[in-house]
Amino acid sequence: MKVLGCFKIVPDLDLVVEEDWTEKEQLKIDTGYVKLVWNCFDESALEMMLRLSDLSEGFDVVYELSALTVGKQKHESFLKTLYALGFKHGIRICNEEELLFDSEQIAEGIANYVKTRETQDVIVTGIQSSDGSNRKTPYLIAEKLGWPCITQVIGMETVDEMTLKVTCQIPGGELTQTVKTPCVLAVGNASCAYLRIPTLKDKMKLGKQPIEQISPESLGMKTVREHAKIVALHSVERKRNTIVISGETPKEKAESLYKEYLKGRIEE
Amino acid sequence: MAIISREQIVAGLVEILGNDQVITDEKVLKESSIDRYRKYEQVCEVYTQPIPAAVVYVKSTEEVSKVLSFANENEINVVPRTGHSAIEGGLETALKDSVVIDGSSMNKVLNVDTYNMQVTCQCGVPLQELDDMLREQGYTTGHSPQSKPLAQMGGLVATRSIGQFSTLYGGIEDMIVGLEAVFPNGKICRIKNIPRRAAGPDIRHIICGNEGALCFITEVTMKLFPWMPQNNRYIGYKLDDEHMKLGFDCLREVMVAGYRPSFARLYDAADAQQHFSSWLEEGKAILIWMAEGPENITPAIEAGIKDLMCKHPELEEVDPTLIEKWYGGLNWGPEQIAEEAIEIKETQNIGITTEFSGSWDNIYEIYRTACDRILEEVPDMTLMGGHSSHSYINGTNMYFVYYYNIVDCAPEEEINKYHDRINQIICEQVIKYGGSIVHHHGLGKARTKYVTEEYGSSYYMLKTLKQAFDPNGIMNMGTLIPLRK
Amino acid sequence: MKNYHVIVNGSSAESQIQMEEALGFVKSNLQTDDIKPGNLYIYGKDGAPYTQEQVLAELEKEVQEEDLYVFGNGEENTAMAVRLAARCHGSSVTDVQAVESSWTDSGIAVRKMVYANHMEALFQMEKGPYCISLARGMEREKEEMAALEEKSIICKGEAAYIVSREFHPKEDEEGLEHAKVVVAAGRGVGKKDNMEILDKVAGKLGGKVVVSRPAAMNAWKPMNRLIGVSGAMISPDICITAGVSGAAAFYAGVEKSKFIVAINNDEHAPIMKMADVAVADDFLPIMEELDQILEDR
Repeated sequence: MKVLGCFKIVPDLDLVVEEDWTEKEQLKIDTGYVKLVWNCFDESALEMMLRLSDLSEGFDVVYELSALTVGKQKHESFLKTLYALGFKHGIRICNEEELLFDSEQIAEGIANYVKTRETQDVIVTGIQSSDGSNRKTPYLIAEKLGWPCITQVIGMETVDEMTLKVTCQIPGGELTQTVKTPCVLAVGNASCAYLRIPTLKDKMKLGKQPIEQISPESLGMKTVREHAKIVALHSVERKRNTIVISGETPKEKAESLYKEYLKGRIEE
Repeated sequence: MAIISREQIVAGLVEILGNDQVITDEKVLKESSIDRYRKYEQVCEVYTQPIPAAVVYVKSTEEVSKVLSFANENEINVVPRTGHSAIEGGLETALKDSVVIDGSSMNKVLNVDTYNMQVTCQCGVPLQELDDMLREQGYTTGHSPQSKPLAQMGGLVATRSIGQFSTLYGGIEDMIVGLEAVFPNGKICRIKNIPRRAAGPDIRHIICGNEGALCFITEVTMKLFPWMPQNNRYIGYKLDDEHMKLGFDCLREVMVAGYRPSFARLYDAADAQQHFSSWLEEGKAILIWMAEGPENITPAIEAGIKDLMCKHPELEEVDPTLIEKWYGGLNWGPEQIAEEAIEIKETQNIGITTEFSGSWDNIYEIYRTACDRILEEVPDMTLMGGHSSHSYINGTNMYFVYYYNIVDCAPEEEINKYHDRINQIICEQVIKYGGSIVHHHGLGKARTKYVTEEYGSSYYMLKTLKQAFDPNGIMNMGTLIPLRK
Repeated sequence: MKNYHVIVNGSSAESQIQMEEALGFVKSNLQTDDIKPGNLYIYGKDGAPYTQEQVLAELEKEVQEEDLYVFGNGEENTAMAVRLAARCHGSSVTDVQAVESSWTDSGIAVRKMVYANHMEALFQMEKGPYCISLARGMEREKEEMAALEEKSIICKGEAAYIVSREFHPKEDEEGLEHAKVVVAAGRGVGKKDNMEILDKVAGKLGGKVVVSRPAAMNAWKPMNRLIGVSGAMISPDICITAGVSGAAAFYAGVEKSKFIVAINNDEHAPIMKMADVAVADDFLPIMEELDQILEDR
């Protein structure tokens, strides 16, 4: 079974300095100085793929794992890490500018890769990226390929060469479905949140395989239009403006606290 | 080891402190049996060290004195503690029925004296709170170790800590003024606050760095400095990892030329990728300086450093705002520790640091050979790198950062299979080339076995101090002086 | 004239909340003259767990090119909003918080959070049908909106790609993460006996008592009540801290509380600047008074 993991490398937003979270005319934040990390949902998706493959022993299924990212030259080190962990193919759609609110473009590229370059049985990706927060890419891929899609996926298990057992979270519980491929799986809050780490020896041995580089033009990405366009970006005031309760006695203070602040909130 | 039973120890402590200050909750005791040296055991909640009889929270110097006298009479091992951020085993309760004396409730800032430029506080004052409070008034202690969000003053002095701006402000030994400490027989000693004196040896250094093996620190007075972050200047250069030797030489040049930047760092390529991966190419090391101080001095330091560096064609200057912003977001704190614990559990991949110092003529050899040996001899390594972060006129330190996967190994075995083994290699290489095996984390318990090699003939002095001040052997046994097996 | 429509999953455990939130959104965002109520589409009311594809196939037949389709919060709804727009060549935005401007010739503008909740963005949706899903926690509207015409969506047949399915219901744990009210004790509480009053107040507020690390290390409460980075990270409606200083490790655990009350006798304690309301006093008399007020209520 051929499984393609699509991932995005994002800046670690926790490290962005406070003054950079301000109004931006250029409609993006300067994150160029913070370190790069796997987008968290994509990281889960990739680890889930490895676990699926690990646990397939005893079944008559062979998984061929590929990983694809739309990103910069700088991001290739992440593909090398995936090679060191046992992925068979690493693909980079070469795009040096930052793509933030361009889900249509990205989905077009991925769908066309699968249609025209290397067919796949399953596409696994995170539900959204931290920076763009679009929550659209997996669903657009499904539409562009005409494949069914399961969302909030938290687990995958082997059944046979043509089917997978997929667990997803839905309100009130977990739904486990046995599904036929092809399908798109959008990974949500899975318990395997972290990707394993390859040893330096594996990196030396496996990390040097060539990465397939594809131009976005050849996948038709540059002719796609985003129908929902970002037109403004604002900062959000989050500081709590503390009100100090005055009063002569503890009794007065407690009464004021209760009447003015707690009562209404408790009764809601 | 104690000459009375565990129950009698607890009863005796309750008599001194009352029920509320004597904790015997099993979970608390277990967590108090170790520190972050046994990070993996901590994460797995597997405790291999003797579980203490009690953790006591002391509220005054007098209480410390009474508890120590009681322990001294009954030969009970005590482990002094404040912020619980130790990472070299200094807080492990190595003997049966130990008592952890926790000074974190003694958390009052006693006096901010901006005329004499010194601040006096109790041992349990968290450095973060102290320095934040001072900065609001335009002052700083100048002390900014990575443990700042957790560490408290008593522990910071006891471990001879050092901060990120040490190249300008020095280590804590340069910042302390007077001290108050209690010795095992209950004797309370105060050393007064004066700018300098030449009346005999500097006895503060019996207290500073004692790691709880000689006395319990109850009060600390630190120097104050003006806080002028608006004048800060940042300077950065990248260089190929093969030129690490040159990198050390650049650090040296700046020091020897007489500049005093507050921050002077050299990251090797592996460690640099952990911080600067968004813009720094793989395989590149990086040199960073920050100049701090009055507005007419920082530009001069910046210009001076650039003058020296432009003579090296191997260096390429980097945009200082990249450094400044990285520095602004460099927040290591409790959140990171908590997240790390989850990550360790999930990935079975753990990151550890070990620091040492060396002279300019041996630092590179120690760094290179230790790295090579670790990669050769230790299995499952996933990252091996490091940085120099504290420079002096005559040498610098190196801070190894290494990660490994824990493979087929019970939590109890991890220390032996990986951590101690790596520690051993580093200590061996440091001793071989003539550096110091401990730069600023303290000897703790893990590295105590190398103490005789570290000290050589001067071990006599350390041992004599221990015998003189702690004749019954009750103070944090196994730290500084190895336990007799 | 353009219309707005609301789509609700009738088989979901959250369908009531979804509906109320969607109606709340409609009430505060779509009461303008240029848009009129349309249909309330409910699918799966018969309890049938339809796949997205089944529902989409039916919805597609209903779609009017210039109308607005409001899906509730949640990943299923989000996926459907995006996919419906894609099928009908319209535009979609997910996790929408509000409609910014009413109809213009160039479509409709909506607001949502981006950069992991750090920033708010305005998106211009340029092409109909306009499909949106809602952000979490919209103000709820309980009253039925008679104006919307209810339509059930019935899907025929089975989804071909599903071989089998099993649902495992999960009870919401009565964990700290779900507590609506918490009373947090810090080192300043002083001793174990003082926890009693906090238990009483918390009980009357229908909440739970939690502790900071120093309080947990004093064994005033078991470790599973520990809040902060080494314990639980919570987001209650109300968090009342007593004798907490406000160390970063603790604060990170309650940062997402909707409302924070700090009671501390040290007016300079860091927590006093991190709370919505601060009481500079000993926690004990304040809590005793509060207990009395709650008793009398």
